[in-house]
Amino acid sequence: MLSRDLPRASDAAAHVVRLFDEHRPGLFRFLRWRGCTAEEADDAIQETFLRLHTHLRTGRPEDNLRSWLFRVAGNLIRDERKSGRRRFNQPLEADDAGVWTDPAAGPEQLVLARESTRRLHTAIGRLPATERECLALRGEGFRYREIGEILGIGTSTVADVLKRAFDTLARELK
Amino acid sequence: MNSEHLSTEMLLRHLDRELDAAERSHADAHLAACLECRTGLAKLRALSSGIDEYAADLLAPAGPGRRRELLAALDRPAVIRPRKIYAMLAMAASVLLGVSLYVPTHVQAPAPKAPPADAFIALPYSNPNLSSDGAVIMQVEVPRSAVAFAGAPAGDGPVKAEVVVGIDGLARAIRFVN
Repeated sequence: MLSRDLPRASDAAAHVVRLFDEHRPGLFRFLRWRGCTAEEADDAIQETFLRLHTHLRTGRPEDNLRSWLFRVAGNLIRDERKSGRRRFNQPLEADDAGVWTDPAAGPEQLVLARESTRRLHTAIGRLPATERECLALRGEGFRYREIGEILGIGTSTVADVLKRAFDTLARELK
Repeated sequence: MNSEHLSTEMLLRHLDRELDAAERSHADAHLAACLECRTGLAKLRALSSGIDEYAADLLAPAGPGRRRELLAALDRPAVIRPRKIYAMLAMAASVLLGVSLYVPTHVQAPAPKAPPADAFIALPYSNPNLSSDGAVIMQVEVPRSAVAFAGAPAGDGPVKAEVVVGIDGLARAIRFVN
């Protein structure tokens, strides 16, 4: 069912594409942290920006759009997961990412670094979803208050969750 | 860890610059005098770097078609998803049912006028300030199950309706054709 005669708001579309170029990397990382495959992440990002287009065209507030984008993308994944159409909450594969190494390190250090990296990735993949989400958003530079707003939890809860995640990862690397 | 030492949460908030001025002052003074807490902070910083490296490696460039797909999708007319419109229509049916129940049970002189049978009924959550410019009328068939779900008599045949869709792509008003 289409509303065929809606005029194209080229300004809004151009604005959306500029925001896509700016925020796609962060959203992609966030969704990968959430357990999405690359394709699923890009699908969710496209849907998020289509919603942003509607949001802007209907004159809704434009302040703090970055938080808005992360919140909508996160909710999309949560809804998909609830509906059972996709399985976005899979533990991340240990070898999904590259190796955490110092390029100037010697052979022995490289072996140790690779082992640490492997253990870190495995430990991250086992973290509960909320801890991964908080780590991901922290890594994107959001303040604790903003993370709380995006995830719908309190600021002190964010601090607790991050502390728990760091404790778990530190324990795994001992 | 000694209770006088800074907690992991305090160290992490220090690293993330989330301490208020008083907390920061206390933490800085303690760190200046405490090797164990400085070591703890350094470990958290190293772990944080490892997590950042991990996140950086998650990024993959957008496929060549992704930006083009978004542009094409932005050019397409807005789509109203079936589930959404069924929910809207069910709500509209509820409004109709409410009107039909209200009229006979609150008869006073002069009796309130029921809307003409062919009048559009504004949906309660539609934006009243939205201009009608660019609005379109769509003919739809409402599933009998949606009408029944709203508590209205569904009849035997399909229920046809016309929906006014505003420029924001959302349904604004409805009238039932049969």
